[in-house]
Order: sequence, then structure tokens, then C-alpha cells
Amino acid sequence: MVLTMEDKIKNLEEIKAIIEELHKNNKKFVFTNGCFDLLHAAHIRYLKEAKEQGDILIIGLNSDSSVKALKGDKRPLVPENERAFMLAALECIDYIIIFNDKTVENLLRELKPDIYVKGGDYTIDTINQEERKIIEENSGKIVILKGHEGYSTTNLIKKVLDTHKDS
Amino acid sequence: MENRLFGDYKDTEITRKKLYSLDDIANLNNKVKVLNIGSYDIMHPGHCNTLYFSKNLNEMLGKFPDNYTELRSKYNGKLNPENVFMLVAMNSNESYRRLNKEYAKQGKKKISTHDESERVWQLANLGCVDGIVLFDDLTAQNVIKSYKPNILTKGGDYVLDPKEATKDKPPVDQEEKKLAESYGGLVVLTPLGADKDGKPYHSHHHFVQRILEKHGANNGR
Repeated sequence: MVLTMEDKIKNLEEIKAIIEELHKNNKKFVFTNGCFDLLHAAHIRYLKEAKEQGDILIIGLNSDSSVKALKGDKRPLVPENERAFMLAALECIDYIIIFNDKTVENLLRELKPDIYVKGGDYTIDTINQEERKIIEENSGKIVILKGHEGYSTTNLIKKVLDTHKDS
Repeated sequence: MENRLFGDYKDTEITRKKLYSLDDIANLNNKVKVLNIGSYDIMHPGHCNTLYFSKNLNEMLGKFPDNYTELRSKYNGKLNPENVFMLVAMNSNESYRRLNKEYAKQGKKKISTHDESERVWQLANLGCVDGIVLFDDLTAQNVIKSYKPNILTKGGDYVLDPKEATKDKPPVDQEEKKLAESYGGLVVLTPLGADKDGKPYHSHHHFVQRILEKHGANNGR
């Protein structure tokens, strides 16, 4: 059965029920989070690699207020419902939950990911140690995936401006 | 089938599965053949919406019971996604090279896009895309001639009739439209989507405007 896009976007209670069901079937879920403002190829690359770490992939998506708190007033470019929609369109993503906090810590405490994926040039000692503590306390595994060069939302914005600023 | 992709984006599974050649697409006759044409450089929700409805046409008909009478009468009952093959024709790097040559002659600004391998990669990872074909020409005419689509889709931020075109809503390519129709194809505009709460997904024009407003040169930099 092909899930519609909206079927993938869940609230906290729904996600917890899904996780419970997964565990009954001896499956593990991967969790990663981000703003995913302008979705681009490197995001997709990252998300596919994240999915490969487990059986299903759940994304924590920063809400608009959360993104503003993190990145300032000019972001996000794309509102949360549309960012969720784009992520839901990707084959590799199973579920999405939108969260309002500035940090993902509360959500990690609630969900207790089996596998927590972080993207970027981190080591286990340089990632957010509070996040590390929460995952390890709940017997989860942390996987760090290196970032990909040359892609960022900032670069994409610049590209759009270069193409369109005279129109 | 030659694999044109290279570098980081030469993904063995998904792009080999979904990237087709012009010869391949001439033989896809067991389903309702849908074609969408675009370059899909920077993906935005309007794109996703068009692509999603191009594959899930039955859902589109269900959500808009008063529209699409011709589509409904011709294909009703046959538009569930399992029965639809959704092919996207994308401009290759060569196509852009040729387009930019034309634009230079006309004194228009050059268009730069991400490499074709990256654009194919982005699109291939969408669940609603069944196949992708790259075209080198200025338009997708050869794709239409080989594939002979039953349905040609464009986003809701286009109009069918050039007389109704505005700055926000350009006309669909009339050559492509005529060609598709000559093979019995139907040209369909997908709705300018909205989410569960009825808030509309923006068109390409709106999307660009939003970026210009928030980040443009006029913004005190």
C-alpha cells in the first residue's frame, strides 16, 4: 500500500505507538532531526544513509518557531507543513514528527531512539553530550555520518538570488 | 542502457532502477502513461505536489470532484497509482547548454542548474516518480514522440491557453501540448496544492518571491 504523504506525518502519541509496534516485531528505528529548509541532494544522500542503519527512519523536524530560534528571523524559507510534505515525498522516510523545542533533547527522551544519527564532522566526544547521554542511557546506538561538500541551504538561496534578482 | 550519471550520485539501485533511455520508454505500454516535463533544479513543495498528483491521479480526482471532466470520462477507474507509470522528462546538461546558447543570442540571461546527475538523484528518490528520462534538445518533443503519453501534466501555476497567461502563471509549452494531443494525449494541470488545513503550497513564482523578499539584495545588505 502506498502511503499518502499525510500518512507519514504523525504526532508524539502516534509515533510512540508505532515504535511500540516495531519493537514487538523485533525491528529497530533510526532517528535523525533537522530543519531541512530547502531540500537538496546532500540531504537526500544523508537521509538514505541514515535509513540504512536500521529498519525504519523517523525524522524529527524543527517547527517554524524552532528554526527561527536557531537560525534567526529570515528562516525558515519554507514553512513547516511544506518542509514536512517534501520529506514525506521521499521514499526513504517512513515517519515525520514536528517538534517545537529549540533542542531535540526532550524528543529524544520521549522516543528513546534505537539508532540516533548525527550528520557532520563530529566524533562521539564532540557531539552534544546531553544528547549522547540520553541515547546511551536508553541503550541506543549513535551513528555519525560525515557531511557532503558543497551543499547548503545558504548556497541554494544564493543561487536563486543570482538567477532571479534582475527579474 | 548507458548510465549517464557519475560521481557521488551514481547510485546503483535507485537511479539504475528509474533512469530510462529514449528507447526504453517506447516500450512502456501496459499502463496509463503519464508524462511530466521539468528541470527540477531546486525542489520546492509545489514541485512535489505536481509530481505526487501526477502519480496519484485518482486521489486528485477524488479531491476535486467538480474538475477534470475530460480526464474523468476518459480514464475513470484506471488512475490508481498501481496502474499509472509516471515518467519525468528532465533537461540534461546538454539541453541547458543549448538553451543558454539560444538565450545568449536573444540577449537573455544564462540559466545555471545543478548537474543532471544530482537533479536525477533528487527526483529518483521521490516515491511518486516511476521513471526519469533526460533529453538533450531544447524541448522534450522527442520524448513525447517516443513515449506517446496518455496524460501530460503540468503544475497548477501554469495555464493551458497563452491568452490567459500572467506574470505569475505562464502558458504551457504550446509545441509540447500540440504534439502530445496529436498522439491522443490529454494535457492536465495539477491543482495548486494545499495541506490538510487548506493552506496552499506555493507556486514556483511565489517561492522565488519569498526568497527574494527575505534574502534579496534590497534587504539592507
